Amino acid sequence: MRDPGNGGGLLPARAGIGLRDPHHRQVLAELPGVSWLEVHSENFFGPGGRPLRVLEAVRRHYPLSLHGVGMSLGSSDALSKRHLDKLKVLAERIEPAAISEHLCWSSVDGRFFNDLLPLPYTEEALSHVASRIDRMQEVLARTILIENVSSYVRFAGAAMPEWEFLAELSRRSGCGILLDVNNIHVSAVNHGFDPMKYLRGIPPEAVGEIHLAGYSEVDDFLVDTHSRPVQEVVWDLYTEALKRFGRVATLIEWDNDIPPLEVLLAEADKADQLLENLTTRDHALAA
Amino acid sequence: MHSLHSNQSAFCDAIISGVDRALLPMLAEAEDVARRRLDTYRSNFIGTLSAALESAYPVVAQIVGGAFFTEAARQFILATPSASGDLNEFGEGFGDFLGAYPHAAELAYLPDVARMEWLVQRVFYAADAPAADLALLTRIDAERYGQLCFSVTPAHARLDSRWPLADIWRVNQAGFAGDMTVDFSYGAQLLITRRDDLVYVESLTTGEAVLLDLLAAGQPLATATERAMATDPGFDLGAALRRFVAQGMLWQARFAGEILTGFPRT
Repeated sequence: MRDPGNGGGLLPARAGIGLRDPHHRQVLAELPGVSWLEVHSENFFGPGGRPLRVLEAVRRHYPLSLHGVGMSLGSSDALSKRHLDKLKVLAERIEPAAISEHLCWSSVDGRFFNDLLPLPYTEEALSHVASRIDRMQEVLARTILIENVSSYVRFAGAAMPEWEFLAELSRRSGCGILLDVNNIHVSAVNHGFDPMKYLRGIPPEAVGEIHLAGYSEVDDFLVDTHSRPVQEVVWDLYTEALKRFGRVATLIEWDNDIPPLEVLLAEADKADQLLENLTTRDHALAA
Repeated sequence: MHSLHSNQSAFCDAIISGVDRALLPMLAEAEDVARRRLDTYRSNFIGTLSAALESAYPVVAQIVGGAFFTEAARQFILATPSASGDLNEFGEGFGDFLGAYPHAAELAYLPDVARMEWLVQRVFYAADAPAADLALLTRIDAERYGQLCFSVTPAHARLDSRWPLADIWRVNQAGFAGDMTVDFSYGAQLLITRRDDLVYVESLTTGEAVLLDLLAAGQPLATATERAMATDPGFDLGAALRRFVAQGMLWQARFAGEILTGFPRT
């Protein structure tokens, strides 16, 4: 059984923040006025102890999104039943508003890189990933969201651009799309495509969540470091995305050089302002 | 057209061994551009797994210092494939690696410090178990206590070492401000436990260690006690049981096939 919609329907269409270990205590003590929180699923795969206790306490106060980084959906290896079972156990315990994973691969021949690696956008990869999303959704008994990653190299001989691959994946499997606007910008600069073309290639009804983060410049290309505030050019692209997709739950992600909680909350306020300022007219004009 | 597996296997070779012959023709970028960008994937790979090791092995990192740890971590990562999408599962075997690492030869105790830290991480994430409600034991005649068997909480680990690991652990904790001197002339029979979600590293007496290991192996109390007393003439059964009960170590008591389950502490 799949729930209808884009997999993000239970998240408030407002700004949330990624909850990371250094902020657990403060968030529980102060319960800041942010609309929802997202965590990395794997950090809560252990069967007991403090992490689960913290997550259950947080869940009593906020809608939660479980964001996976280790399912290795695009790998040519068999899908890990053990990993998926742990996610299922966690989801049953936490009852998250959304579950998401990445459009990437992380392992081959049993060896994990614990990184989000780029896929070739071929028909072979499309049917492979679609069938694995089917499997995940079947086991979890719900629709999941799939996120575009930043990439630094591309495989030659692509049958379609990334946005078409993502849209087709959603069409075939019924999964929702977690659109990372920062990743679109990073990949657009690295590979020389027009980010607006990307946005126009994504079906609005499939977009269940948006991610925003900061990137870094290395030599002549961009790297998705999640270590900085959201750059101005990404806020601009986000504004364009909202015009096309309407009000969508939006996450501020920050994973390295994690700043004080207040910095994250200020970024979330900024996203909330843009969400609130979006008029029906803007949305209609863009659509 | 290349298959998904050959794409990924070529990518793997480029990242792990720097052999990019197979991968470069598969990529859209010119070779020099592709090489520089693959460096980013390579440093992400090493950086992510190094951070996981540093989080699992803070005492080892504190003892050896930044540059030493970074290089040891890099070599371990290249030699030891990560086998899970869950980073918390990466790093088992770092103790054995350090035991064979020539640059750590002068720090003979370092491998055991690492083995201890791996167990600390496992205990931190281990399943919860309610502590035994020992009032249930009043249902049994005291002279038959010897036939009791116990289940020991999953949130514990044991490690015997010729090095004073509990003291090494204690003086290397963040915020420790006391005397850093550690007496290396004696070893440790270590008990790693979790109480109120915090992990504790403590030393056991020889008798306590024997008793706990035999109880954990399913032996009845009488057998475990006899062996503890035979090994350690000073063994005090009452003190040992009080200690393990206070630490929430004994989870379930079984007597003549009946399970006397404890109640959750909440």
